[in-house]
Amino acid sequence: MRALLLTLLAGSLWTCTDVIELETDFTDPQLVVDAWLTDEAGPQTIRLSLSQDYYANRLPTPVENAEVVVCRTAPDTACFVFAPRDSGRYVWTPAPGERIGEVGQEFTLGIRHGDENYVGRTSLYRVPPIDSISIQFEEERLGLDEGLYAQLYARDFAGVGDAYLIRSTINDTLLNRPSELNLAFDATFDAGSGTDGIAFIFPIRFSINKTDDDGAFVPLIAGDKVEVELWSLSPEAFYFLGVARDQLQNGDNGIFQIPVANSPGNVFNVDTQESALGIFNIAAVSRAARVVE
Amino acid sequence: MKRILYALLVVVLGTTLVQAQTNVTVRGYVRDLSNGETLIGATVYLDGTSKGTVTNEYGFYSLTVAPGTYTLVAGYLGFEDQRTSLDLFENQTYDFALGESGKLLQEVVVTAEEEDRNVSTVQMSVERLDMTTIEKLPSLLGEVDVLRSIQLLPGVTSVGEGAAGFNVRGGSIDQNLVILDEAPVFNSSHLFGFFSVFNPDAVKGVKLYKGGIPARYGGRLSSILDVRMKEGNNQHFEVQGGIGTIFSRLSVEAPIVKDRSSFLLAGRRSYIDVLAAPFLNDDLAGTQLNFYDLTLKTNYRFSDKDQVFLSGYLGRDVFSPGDDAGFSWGNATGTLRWNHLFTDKLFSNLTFYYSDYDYAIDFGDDPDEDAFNWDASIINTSVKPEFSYFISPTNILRFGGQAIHYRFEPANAIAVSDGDEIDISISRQWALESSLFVENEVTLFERLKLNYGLRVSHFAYLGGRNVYTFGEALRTGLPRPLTGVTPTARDETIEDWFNFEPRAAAQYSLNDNSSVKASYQRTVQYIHLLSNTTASIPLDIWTPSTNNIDPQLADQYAIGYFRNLRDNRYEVSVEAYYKDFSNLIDYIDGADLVLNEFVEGQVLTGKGRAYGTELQVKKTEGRASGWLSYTLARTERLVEGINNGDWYPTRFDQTHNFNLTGFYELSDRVTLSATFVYNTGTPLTLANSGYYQLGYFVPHNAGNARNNFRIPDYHRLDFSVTLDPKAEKADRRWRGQWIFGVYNLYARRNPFTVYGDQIDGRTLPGSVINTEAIKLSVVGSIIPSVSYNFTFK
Repeated sequence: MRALLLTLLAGSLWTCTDVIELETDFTDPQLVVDAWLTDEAGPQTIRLSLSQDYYANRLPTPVENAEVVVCRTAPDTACFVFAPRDSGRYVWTPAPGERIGEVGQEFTLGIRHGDENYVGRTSLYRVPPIDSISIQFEEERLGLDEGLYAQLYARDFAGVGDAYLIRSTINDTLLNRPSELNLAFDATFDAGSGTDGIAFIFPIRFSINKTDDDGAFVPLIAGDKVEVELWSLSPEAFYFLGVARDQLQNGDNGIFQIPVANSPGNVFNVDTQESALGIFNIAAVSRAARVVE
Repeated sequence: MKRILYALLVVVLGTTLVQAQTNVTVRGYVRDLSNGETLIGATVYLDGTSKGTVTNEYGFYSLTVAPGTYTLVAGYLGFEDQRTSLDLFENQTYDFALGESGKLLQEVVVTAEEEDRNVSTVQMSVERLDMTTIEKLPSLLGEVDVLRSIQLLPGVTSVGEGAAGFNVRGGSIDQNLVILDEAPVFNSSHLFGFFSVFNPDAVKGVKLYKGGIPARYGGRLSSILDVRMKEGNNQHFEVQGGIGTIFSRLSVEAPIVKDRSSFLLAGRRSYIDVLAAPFLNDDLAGTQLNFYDLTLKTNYRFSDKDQVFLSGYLGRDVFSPGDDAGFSWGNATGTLRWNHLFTDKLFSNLTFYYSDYDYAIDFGDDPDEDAFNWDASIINTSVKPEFSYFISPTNILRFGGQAIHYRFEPANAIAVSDGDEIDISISRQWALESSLFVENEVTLFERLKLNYGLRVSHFAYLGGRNVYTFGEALRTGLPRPLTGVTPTARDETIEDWFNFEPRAAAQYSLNDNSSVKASYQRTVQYIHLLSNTTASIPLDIWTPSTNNIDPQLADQYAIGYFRNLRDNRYEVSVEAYYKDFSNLIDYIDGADLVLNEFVEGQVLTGKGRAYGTELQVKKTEGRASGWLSYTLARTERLVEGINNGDWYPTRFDQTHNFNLTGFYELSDRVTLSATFVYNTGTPLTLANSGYYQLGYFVPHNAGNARNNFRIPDYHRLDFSVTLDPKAEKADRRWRGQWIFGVYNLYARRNPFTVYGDQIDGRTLPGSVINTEAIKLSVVGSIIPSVSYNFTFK
């Protein structure tokens, strides 16, 4: 909610920007765990890398030679070894028909790298089905050209605390601009808003559309293919992505920017209890696709 | 509690009553001859002595002397002195009406006794600006602005151009009590922070207390900005107006009953949307973007002992891009005051006020299908009796009290999604703030003046909603988990606080034109603004102190040296202050303060300290006048969970702050004005590192330092020319004035903030995501303006 309002406010001012050169005081890279798994069939990948200077503008330094394992810890015990590949990738390829687990089950991630051991825990949270992707004609209004736009219809579960990541792909292009990082918490933007069990609110339904460089939505044309995935998030994963979203989109807030904040991770060094960067989450996934006629 | 105060009163009164018995009192008002407006802070003194007094907020004075024949002189800057010889053998009334000094007469040397207020009064850390000065200042887009003007004074800063509010001696923006005819104004800006809500045509003057705040003021930690409205011309009909780049203004004032009653009605409206309307197509035809304010004041003098004033203010910003979204916010205040003279020496004022700040947002063109409606408000009503007892020219006793009832409505909100309606309102809050004060201003041994007092305040957080308790956060910096929900009955006291707020100020005259002053104050603040954006947004909500949020406290110590030179034509002052804050509010990383029922779980509390030195040199008269101010300051916070538990500078900390303001009367018709502003860039936090996650490049602040980077320095030069009508035309009924201004003369792109941002929009999964640092300027070019003002009598 806030993000939307701030952008609205900031957009109404006559500000101007210049690119400047900055040096940072960054010296110590930290371990980054990029462990966003799903309950779907198919290979699951965990990436280990190091954090880098904000302005380095390069691919991350991979962390090789680690041992990575994910274990289902409740209700039963089963472990899945993630085999090292190139570029800091660790991959588990399930046998045909095999899945990592089901909604409600608990999991632990273990990483050993040199003398350091890291552990993360999570549960597999529920995700509602996507009822439909509807394509509707919208008339011109401020910030929106007239044309066809998609909307994602799904209904939040009753009960507070359901959180989802919405990933939209249009014509095989994954929408991954900072402004296209879309989350839902009980059908709205953030925790604490008091909504529950309703259809995703309009701005979230509408967020699956493509945006241009200026942040304006781009209308669809006949033949466009819209694919949407809904991933369930643990509370820790939602909080992480919520902070990341607010930070990634903060530049648009102009004079109303919020303070720089770090996304808290959920994978910890066993000895120091310090957090590695990044999240271990296993998502249940709903999918839907539609071609514009 | 009452008993202690009563005892204190008796002691103070008892000692002073005795010595005052045989003397006689002269009392009355000092007014402007041309329009009957009372003059606040005018001096009335006995010719040839240093005995005198100053008119209060209502233009009233009372002077008690030994029986005899005296020459009384009343004076006010910019006005000719008025002298009168009075045989004072019994109590009597005498009202002064001062005429404005002609331009040439301003050169006349004035006597030392009346113009040395800077040196001779006990009050320090106070800044006064009257409208004639404010109107002459170069301004953004030619709009005369009270709040931007005070930012040219030492000790007053802002987080940046366009930001709402101002910071006084290291205080955050909610630590200023902005009062318009006694009623608090919770958001003093139009268009975020660009223009203040006060219509210059309706304002008589402003007074800012940065320190040494007398016991009669309370409720905020850092400053009191007292804005007084004009009463309205009680001599003749007068219309004033102006056409500017942003606003058009019109005000009407006239006597209702001459010398007894008058009114003032003043309005302003922005007209960007009016001008733009013909160019918008059908879909945008409903676009509204405007702000307006309306000010009304009227008064009636029943007798020379009773006078009532009624003032009202209504201001609003409306922003609505078409039919399917709307956003508006504004203040409404109303004040009823009754001045009553019990005796020649006992002046009283009873104030009732109502103040409401509210905003509303709505989205969605089909309210049954998809909609969002949210409105919020903070409403307070208050009664405030105050008494001034003018015991002798060397002793004034003030006492009184105040009760304020608060009602907070953080959100009355409804969300409709795909036909389902859900109420997402946030529980209301109620509170009662009460206070009593006594304050004694006394001159001892000719050279020493004291103003000491005590304010006792009480705050009750009242029931009628669920009360939440929170446990310890899992880790520092995470939200505290909700552990308990307790329903409470309406008006039951959930939690309350008692605080003593001692205040003291002393002035010691070294000689006729120099003095040293010192002051101490404790201030307590029971209501808090929840805001974590760089510039405060109109949606920021206020919260009372609750079972989870304690009242904020501050102690301030200040000393100063004051000297006037060349027959008071130059005023020089140097002040140093140190301030200790406790229970200051900050927020966890990633706090969500908007529409959050459990916002109390995201609040952190900490300590603060601020210290600095302020230098000011003023030239008050002559063809060339103006002032220079320089502040060297530091303001820091210490909050567990932020900056690894170490002190860090606040977002509005400025090491150096320099302002130069100059006026030059080129001729009777032409006045040149210029201001130059320089300040150290404010500190902020920047991400120093980042990492790849889920295909995004997530910024990270390794080391967790807060506000460890300073944005580049800020400096700006503004200039304006005021053209008044020819002297021979000056007596005409219609007087027109042109003002040509230039803001940011050398077009510097002053930075408001610096931040890191992703260069690339959408990236291919697995590819490099590039980032860059961006400097944001609010005003990036030279902004010229023309405005025309007129007066019709």
